[in-house]
Amino acid sequence: MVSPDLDLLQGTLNVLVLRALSWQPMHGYAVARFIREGSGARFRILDGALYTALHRMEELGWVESSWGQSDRGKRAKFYEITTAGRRALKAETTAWSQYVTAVAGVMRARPETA
Amino acid sequence: MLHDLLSDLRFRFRALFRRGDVERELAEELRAHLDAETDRLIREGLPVADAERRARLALGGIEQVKEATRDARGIGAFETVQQDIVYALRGLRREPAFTAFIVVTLALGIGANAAMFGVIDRLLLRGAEHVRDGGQVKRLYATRRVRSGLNETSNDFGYVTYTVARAETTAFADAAAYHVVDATIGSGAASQAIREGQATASFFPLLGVQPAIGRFFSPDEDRVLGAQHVAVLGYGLWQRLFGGSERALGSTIRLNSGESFVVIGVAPRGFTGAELASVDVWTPLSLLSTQMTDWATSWSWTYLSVIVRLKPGVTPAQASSAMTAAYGRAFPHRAGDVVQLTVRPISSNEHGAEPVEARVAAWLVAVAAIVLLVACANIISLQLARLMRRRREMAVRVALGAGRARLTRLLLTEGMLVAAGGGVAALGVAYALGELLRRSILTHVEWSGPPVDARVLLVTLAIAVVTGAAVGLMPALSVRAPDLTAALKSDARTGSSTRSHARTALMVAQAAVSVVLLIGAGLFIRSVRNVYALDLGVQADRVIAVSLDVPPIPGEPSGGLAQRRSRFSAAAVTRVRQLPGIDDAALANGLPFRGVSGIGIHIPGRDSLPALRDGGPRIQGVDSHYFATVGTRILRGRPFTSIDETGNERVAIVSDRLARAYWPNEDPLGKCFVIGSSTNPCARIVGIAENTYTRIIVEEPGLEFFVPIAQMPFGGITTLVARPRGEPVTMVGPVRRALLELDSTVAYLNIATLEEAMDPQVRPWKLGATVFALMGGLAVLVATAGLYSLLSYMVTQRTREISVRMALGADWMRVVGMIVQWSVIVCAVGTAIGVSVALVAGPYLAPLLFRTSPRDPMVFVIIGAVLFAVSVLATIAPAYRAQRIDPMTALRAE
Repeated sequence: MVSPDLDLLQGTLNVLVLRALSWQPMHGYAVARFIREGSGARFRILDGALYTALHRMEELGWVESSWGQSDRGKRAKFYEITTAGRRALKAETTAWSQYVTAVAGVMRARPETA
Repeated sequence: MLHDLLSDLRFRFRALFRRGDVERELAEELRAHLDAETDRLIREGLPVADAERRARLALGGIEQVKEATRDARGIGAFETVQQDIVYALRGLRREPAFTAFIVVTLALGIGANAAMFGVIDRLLLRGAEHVRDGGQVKRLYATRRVRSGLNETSNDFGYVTYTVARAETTAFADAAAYHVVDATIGSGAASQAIREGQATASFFPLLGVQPAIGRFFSPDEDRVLGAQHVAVLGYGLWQRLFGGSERALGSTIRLNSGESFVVIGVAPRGFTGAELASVDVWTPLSLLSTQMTDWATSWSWTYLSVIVRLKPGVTPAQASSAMTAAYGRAFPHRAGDVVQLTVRPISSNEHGAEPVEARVAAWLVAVAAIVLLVACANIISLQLARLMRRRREMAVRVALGAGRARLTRLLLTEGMLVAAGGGVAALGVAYALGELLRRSILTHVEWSGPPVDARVLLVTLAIAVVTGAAVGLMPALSVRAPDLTAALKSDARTGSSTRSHARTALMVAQAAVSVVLLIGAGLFIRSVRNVYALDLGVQADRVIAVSLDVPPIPGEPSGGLAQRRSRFSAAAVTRVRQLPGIDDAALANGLPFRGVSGIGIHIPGRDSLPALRDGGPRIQGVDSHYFATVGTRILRGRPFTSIDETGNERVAIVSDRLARAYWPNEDPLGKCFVIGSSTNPCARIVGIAENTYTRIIVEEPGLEFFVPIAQMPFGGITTLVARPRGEPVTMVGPVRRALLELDSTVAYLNIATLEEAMDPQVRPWKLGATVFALMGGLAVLVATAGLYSLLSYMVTQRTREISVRMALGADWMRVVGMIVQWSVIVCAVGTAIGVSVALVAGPYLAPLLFRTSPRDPMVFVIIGAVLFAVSVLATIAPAYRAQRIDPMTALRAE
């Protein structure tokens, strides 16, 4: 069975990136790989959007960047989550859980019998 | 937490200032991603080319990513401004001559305004230095009724009036009196002339000034008949005598060859009391009380200035009426004379009006502003021309999505950059111009700082900003979208731009303004010449005057000083008369421009006498050589003889004006009148002298009369006047030496020509003439340069048209004639407008002129001719270039 690629819901990209970085500092390619593998290769992301998100989050102060060596020995830009970023991750995660619970609730619900 | 903050700052810093690095890093980052993805796809088995393509697709297009990322970083505004500046600089650098011209023009215009502001700031706005809350400090004036119902306002008071003001505590927080005189410091040949301020102890606290070192007088040291010989040095004198050292305190100085004073303090730099002229030393006023026993209560000594500080909440009007009432209560027998006492701004002149210098200065500020406007008009006109040239460039920018706002911003940036450059250069111009004015015509004012101080700097900045905005925005506002698209489509060099109405109008305006300024200059120059050409009744440029200041000897009996003085005077005048190179010498008590006193007279048999606006009559005591020495002609009768000098009969010589005023229908010779107190004997008129000016030049000659020195009703300083055969300056040294030989204790003898004494009064006209001429010259310069560049531009624009005409056989003269014609017409119209404006505005300038009609035809004709010549000159070079156009080359270059 062919699983269709899913389009990422607006606003969830930030959460996924933050979650990735909450494990360890990563460079952009590693974050992309993390999301792709974590979603079972389901999510279709334009990698460009990823970098946009990373830079926006850096501007917001949720991540900070530094240059280092990748596992292949090449120069790569690593991103690290900040304290503010962790707070944002926590808030977004809570929001996401509430969202999921709400959706599941509606899915379970039956119409009221008269 | 701190770590996060620091990294945030580092991020922002890099975003602002390391833009290039950031861009490079982004490219590197994306490239690394692409490589990694490509490698992965290759390992999954795709061929290299496909892998690369898939990787790029997955990324989504590098440029878009970069753009999106840049937007996400959001430091847009600052970067745009930076970009604007870079573009603007590039554009300006492409046309260096144009840019240089604008910057220089702006520098001159802004600099001139800044310099004028500096002058006005000192003369008008700030007033005297070191005065706390100057608006509350006022000067006292008295308006007295001169007998026929005319009033005269003046600010000469006696100590008595000061006492009344001091006691009037409902209106005044404090009162002070002062008097500035010429004095000498040191003795004998080593003495110098200085200005001594004699002031009450309340003077300094009233003004709110703090000493630089030491202290000011205490009230104890300024007691009437018990004043101490203490002195406060002026800052400049302190530097000169003591090099600014603190050991000045407690040391002794000798003033006027007689008296020793102990220095107790030094005034701060720039302190000149309540007026602007410099003062070298301050001494307690009450020291004068020892010269005359009832000095503090007498009515004969009325030469003090009285200043007051109003109580908070008291208006000048209230203060005036309070003082008038107090005066009336204190001196009921005198009150009939005085109509009222008023308090006026401290900068007012001796008649209670705004000083002439202030009014001239106000005009000058207007003039400087106009010159700046001319400069701006010029620049805007050139910018318009340049903008037309750049239509294509603008159109392309718009097509690329720049938007009108962005374009306007770009032009504004250009304007600001140019104004910034001009502003910086303007500071140099302001400094130079300020120094020039200070040294040439404002020498009497004590300047406490450089011509460019913080306030001038601020004003320059403000003017530069406004100018930059105007110069940048005006052309921008005229750029319209249809013009731009049309520019893209058509050949941008075709001709409608040359007939821009706006530019023509601006050029005409510039010509008009130049004309007005030059006419102003011409009128002032005429005034100055009229002043010097005035028949003063004395030959001021041929006469040198010497004050004979014989110092008192301590312990001398009271009549002794007077005797010594008169012996010295007699010996002096005899000695000087014998000097080779001196034609004649005389003694006088009261001399034109160096102080002539007024006195009342009474004609037996008449109840009242007509009086002139000038007040008077005024009296001078002279000897038998006086009239010959100073060159005053005796119209009828005779001068004094040696018999009159020593004789008992009272005689007098009256001026023609006085004779006509008081004896209109009869011959005054032989008539007599009583001088001063009515118990005095009647003085017989033996001669009528030509009119002389003794005080101020503005007014008509006053009512003057002369008596022999010995018959003067009151004492005074005797002045020796000498008439050198050749140049007066050459005899100054010999005269001084001769006098010092006679008596070496005599202090510095203030030797100067009468003309020099007159100088302070000519100054306002000189100031006006100089500045108007400078500004007018500047305006003409700017206008001419503008005309020249416009014409050059026109020739370049119409090269094609000219070539075609010439190729078709037209004579080059006719072609060039078109251009010259435009130029001459513009200048003619501009001159006509300028002349009309000058004619209309003339009456407003009239009070500031001297015996010059504001519609003086000669000035107008000369200026008109000058401008015509200028307009023709400006067209020569462009016309020459037009004539040299080779039609074949020009057409082929299309």
